[in-house]
Amino acid sequence: MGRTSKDKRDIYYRKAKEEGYRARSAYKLLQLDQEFDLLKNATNVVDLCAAPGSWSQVVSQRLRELGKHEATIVAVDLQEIAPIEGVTILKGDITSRPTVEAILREFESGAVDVVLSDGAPDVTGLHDLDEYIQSELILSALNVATFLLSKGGTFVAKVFRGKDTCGVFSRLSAFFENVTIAKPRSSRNSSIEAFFVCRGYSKPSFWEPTLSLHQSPCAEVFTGSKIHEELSSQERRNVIMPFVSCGDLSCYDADMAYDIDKDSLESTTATKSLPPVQAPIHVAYESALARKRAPKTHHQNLL
Amino acid sequence: MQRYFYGPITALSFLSSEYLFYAQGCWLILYDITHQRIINRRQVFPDGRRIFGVSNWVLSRHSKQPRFVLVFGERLVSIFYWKSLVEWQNIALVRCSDWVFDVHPIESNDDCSFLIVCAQSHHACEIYSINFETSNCQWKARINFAFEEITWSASIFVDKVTKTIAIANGCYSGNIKVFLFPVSDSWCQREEEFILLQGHAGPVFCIRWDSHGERLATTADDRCIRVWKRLTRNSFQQQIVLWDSTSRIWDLDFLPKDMIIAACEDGMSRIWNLKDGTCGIRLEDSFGKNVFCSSTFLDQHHRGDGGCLVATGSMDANCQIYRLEDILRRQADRYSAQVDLPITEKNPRRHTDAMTLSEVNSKVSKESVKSIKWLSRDSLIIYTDQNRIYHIGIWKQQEEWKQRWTLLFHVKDKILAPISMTWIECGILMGTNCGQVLILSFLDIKRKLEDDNQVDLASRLSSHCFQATKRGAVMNIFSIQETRSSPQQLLQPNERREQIFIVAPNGCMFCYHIVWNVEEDCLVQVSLLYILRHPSSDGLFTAMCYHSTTSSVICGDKKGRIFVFFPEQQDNSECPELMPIQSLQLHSDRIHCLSWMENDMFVSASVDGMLFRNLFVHRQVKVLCQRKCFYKVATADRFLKDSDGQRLFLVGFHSKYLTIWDVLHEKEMVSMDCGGWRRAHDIWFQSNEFMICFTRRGHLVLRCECFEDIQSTPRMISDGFHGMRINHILLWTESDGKLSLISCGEDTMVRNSLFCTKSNRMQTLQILDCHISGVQCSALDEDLLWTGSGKDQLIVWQRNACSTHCNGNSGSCYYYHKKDMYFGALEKNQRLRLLNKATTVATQRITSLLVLPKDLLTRNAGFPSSYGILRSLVGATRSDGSFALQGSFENQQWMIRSLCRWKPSQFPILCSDCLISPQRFQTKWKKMLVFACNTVGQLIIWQLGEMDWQSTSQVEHHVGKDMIILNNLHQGAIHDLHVSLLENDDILVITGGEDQRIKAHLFHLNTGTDQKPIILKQSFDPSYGHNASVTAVWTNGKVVFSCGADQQLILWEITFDGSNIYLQPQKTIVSNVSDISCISVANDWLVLAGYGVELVKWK
Repeated sequence: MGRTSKDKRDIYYRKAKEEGYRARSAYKLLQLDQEFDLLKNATNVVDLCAAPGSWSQVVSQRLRELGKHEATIVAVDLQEIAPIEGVTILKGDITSRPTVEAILREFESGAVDVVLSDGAPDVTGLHDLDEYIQSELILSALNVATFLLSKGGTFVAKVFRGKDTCGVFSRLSAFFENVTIAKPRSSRNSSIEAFFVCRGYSKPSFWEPTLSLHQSPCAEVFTGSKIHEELSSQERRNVIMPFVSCGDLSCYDADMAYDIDKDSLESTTATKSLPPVQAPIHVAYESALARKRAPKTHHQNLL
Repeated sequence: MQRYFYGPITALSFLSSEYLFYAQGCWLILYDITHQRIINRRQVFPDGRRIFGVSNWVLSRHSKQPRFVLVFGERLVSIFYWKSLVEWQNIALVRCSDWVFDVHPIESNDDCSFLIVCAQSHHACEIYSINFETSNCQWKARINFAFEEITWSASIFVDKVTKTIAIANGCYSGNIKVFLFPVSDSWCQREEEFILLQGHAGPVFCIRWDSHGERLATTADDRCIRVWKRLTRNSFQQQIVLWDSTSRIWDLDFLPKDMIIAACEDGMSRIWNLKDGTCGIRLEDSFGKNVFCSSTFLDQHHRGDGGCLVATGSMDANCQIYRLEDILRRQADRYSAQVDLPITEKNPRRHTDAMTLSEVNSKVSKESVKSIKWLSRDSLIIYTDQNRIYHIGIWKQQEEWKQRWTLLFHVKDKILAPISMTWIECGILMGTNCGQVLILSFLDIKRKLEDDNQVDLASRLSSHCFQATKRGAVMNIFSIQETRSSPQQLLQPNERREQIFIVAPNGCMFCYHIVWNVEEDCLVQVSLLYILRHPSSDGLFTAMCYHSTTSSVICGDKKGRIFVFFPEQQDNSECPELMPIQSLQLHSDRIHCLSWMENDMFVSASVDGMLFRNLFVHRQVKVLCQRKCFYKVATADRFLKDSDGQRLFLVGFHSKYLTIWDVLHEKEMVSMDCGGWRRAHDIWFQSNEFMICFTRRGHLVLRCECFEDIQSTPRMISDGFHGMRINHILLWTESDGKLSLISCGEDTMVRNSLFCTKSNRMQTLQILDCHISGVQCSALDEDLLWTGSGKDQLIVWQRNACSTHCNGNSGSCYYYHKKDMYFGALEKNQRLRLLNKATTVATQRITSLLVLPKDLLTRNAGFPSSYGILRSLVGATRSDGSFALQGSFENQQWMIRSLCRWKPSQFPILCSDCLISPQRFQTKWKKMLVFACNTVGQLIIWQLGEMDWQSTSQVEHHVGKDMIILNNLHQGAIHDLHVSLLENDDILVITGGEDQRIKAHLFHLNTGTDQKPIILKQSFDPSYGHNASVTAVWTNGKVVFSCGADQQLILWEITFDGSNIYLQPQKTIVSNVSDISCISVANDWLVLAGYGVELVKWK
């Protein structure tokens, strides 16, 4: 992710710990909300790929501040999430029908106003692959969102901007009146991460929500001299995607390292390290780590 | 347009045992294994589309036995007819509906046509038919399978007997689904059965059928490999789970003899044995770089493990090729034995028979080995902390190791305890605590081993010893015999003359001549030749080497200095005391060893793992180049040389690892876990094996490492590149069509490489490794190179335009470390801690460096005289928004001094550029302009003038006064800017930002006395641009280059309409470099850097 060699414990990391958020990503939603007022008119919110739950924390906190005690918040992830006040937690794959049905059952009162998705695959280091899997995730999340969203609803999804972002942008544009790319200041500049903020959902006439992600065949075959043409062709897409940077100049910068002393002036906690707000419950590589940490039963390094 | 891409290797396929295909970006490269060279490169996909797999097969039904190459990747499949090494006919390029994860050919009834099955994401597959004689390709069908999930990997197996296709798909959730369907003509869509295999957690990264379709190997985010055995057509059973890697596995392959190889993220390729599930072999050749792919090749002519080749390709553009046979033989030949020290009792006492062994052990005092020396391949000498000198004979009898211990001598007087050891032709020399040197003759040792009572060593030793130092212990003892094999000077046929050097703790080194009578096996004469004196009385020589043609002595001391002594420099007094004729502060820590490489070239290595290559001509030491030889923080210990001087190895250790490093080929040979802190070790090297002996927990461990494959396996040497993102790159042309590159990587390395435009060959000359975190930026000032990194570290390197001595590249430049400095208040001991942890001190990154004209900015008064001569002046911008002026000074020592620092921005400055004002605008305080951009879209401009360095506060005052800040040029951060001076005193500033825009700003230089030095005339925002953030821009006033995270390089032309400026896009190129960070232009060539580099001839 680029110019990343910096202190891991950056200011937002420390602030998240101090303020009890489970991840520093909480500030990204806070800043997005500050810019777009996402949660002002929302009562029903779904947080897809929610683990460890920092976005749900923000949503629940914000809706309580706004006095919406009847609000329904549902957090879904493949991994387990520790309980959060005011949030219904579901464990399941967002692309599978039972999960979608389970989410819909939670909203008997009405349709959903906001669908959030901060999910990302484990990055491999090959950007093309990461961006592709991420755009697949966005499309899966969009597919789920079309089941849930009410007219005029909002959809927020994390995107890795790369060479094929335009394609995803134009797909989203078919479903939403207003699609903007936003980058909160708490998201590092060195990272290719940004967020699609899609507002004004209206179901297009051609779309019937389905859980099948089939693509219609659109293969092309080139032979002979056409191959050379295709290899040297330039893909030109002239779509200018609107971009907004969120967070005002008074907030902290994610790329900068701040002295611990400086921000401890605001809070009274002295410079001692805080424990994690919420330890992970289960990770995929749990057993691999356990095996590594376990005392060796037989002398493995006996040459 | 000539283009050359150099990046991660993502796919491999053997064509035969001599040729290999590998894929970099959209390029397919044919590599000659035996001659280690690239034969052919071809672009097979449109720009920027990455290849994920390559395979080749022979259409056996056809009489010509044609060979086809299948390439697949991002939405694309390409099919080649392979005619010869240079002739490949492209049959078809298929743009599929979705990403392709595997392609498999199926022979059809027709002789000249075949089908290919493409497994795609979304659980679908597409089938195409190809007729190679008519070069025709047709879409046949698309089959969608039920139950959708995001697919991450796929593998196809076609059963030729039952005519069934089995597609195994690995899903995002960790499920594995195997779909079965028959080969048919209609390919009608139907609801087919599928088999669900559950067990993995997290996305399945790789899935692979074995060659018979009986087993399926899968790996996922849970870091294990599961092997599933097919029981019947529709049922599978998990056969085994393979654990070892705690990093993710990207690729795997079945090997013969029930083995599996996997390419892991931590840079290791692991080989498991499926029979017992153990991971016996770890190939550590990629040094922590992501290994992306592995491939195997079974030679059809001699099936079995003899004919199997294995290749791995990694992130650093390096592919390694092994012969499986060699890997296994290395494993078999590698033997080790643990040897216990003979039990000796401090106070001899009777043990009762009833005592158990542990009781006996607790009663006896543990003796530990202090030093080890190999005498030959099967014998070694040790001495212990209880001053016993042993000879150990070690030999292998069938499969078992045999050992024989002989106590040669027990030094009972502690004052006479041996503390250093070396050997000459006739015997072992031991330096003792009281300054005596004992000589143990080899003949005596031999006779003692044959018959214990035949020789009285004590009396022999008392006559074979001499007082070497007047006072103090013999700290070190060196013999020329050991450091360099030179022809012996024979005095008389039966006499040997040896020169030895003895180091005393008071800064002296004594040179003695020893004359030994071979026939009578006795010491004839010892004479002191000269004394070498360290300039400081507490100096200690820790290494030496002797130059026999000039009889000069080169020494290294404990503080990293090199001294040259020349014996004939003084009068002919009996025992001259020599002072060094040259001293050089080379290393920053204790020099542990020195050795000759060639006649006039020697290498030196120090405790911090740094290696210097130096030239010794006209009795002067000149540094050629420097590098760090161990990838871990390790201590260099000694050099090993084989008898013909062809190969040189460096032995080093760090905490519990012992590492042997090949100096000539610059790679690690052996790295072994000694299972605890190493106390003493010694290594014997002969042709292709290392005999290694080290101590561990009171035992001696003996190990033999055989390297059949040193010669037999060809490898690409030092052709690799950064294994992580390149943050900055400098390009300039050298003569003869060569391009020089300095690249700064996130992997903390700076690479000095050369690209030959004629042969398209990239060659790494040097790896500069002194940074403690990712290197962010670099700048070149005549013969000095500055590099800056995270953790506030700034390093200046000296450039040597150098001769043929380094790898024979004439005209190329080499660099060596001159000085480094840290901003802020970091202590040396804090730096290491910084590597992993945060301290309360916030360290910033250095984000850009500007070389400033040092003469222009210095007022007559100059610097305080104690500073010395200013060699170079740079401005560094940092992530806390500050700008600092640094000078490198040469006094007697090199220094980097922080001259002054101020904070033009509240937010991190990401980029900067500077411009010298035209002569007529220059006043005392208007010499040059500096432009900088930060993370909130501000452009900050200030000017620099003649500075009085004695009072820097005034400088800060002047700068602050005229500073211009332009707000909201971009939404979000400005990633890069470039400035160019146009005609009629206009200045063009190009900025590229996070908001995907590139903008041109036209400034006019202000001639008036108005405070503002420049005025913004116009900004131009083109309506065309990038799809992601713009991360690099460059302009020369006529054209502009911009590139961004969307991998596009856009060439813009600047046009003027009266006073207005316009940018017109001329050309768009999709690059293969992802996450581009930097662009650098030199004449006709430009280079893009990010994950890999791409060189483009743009004119």
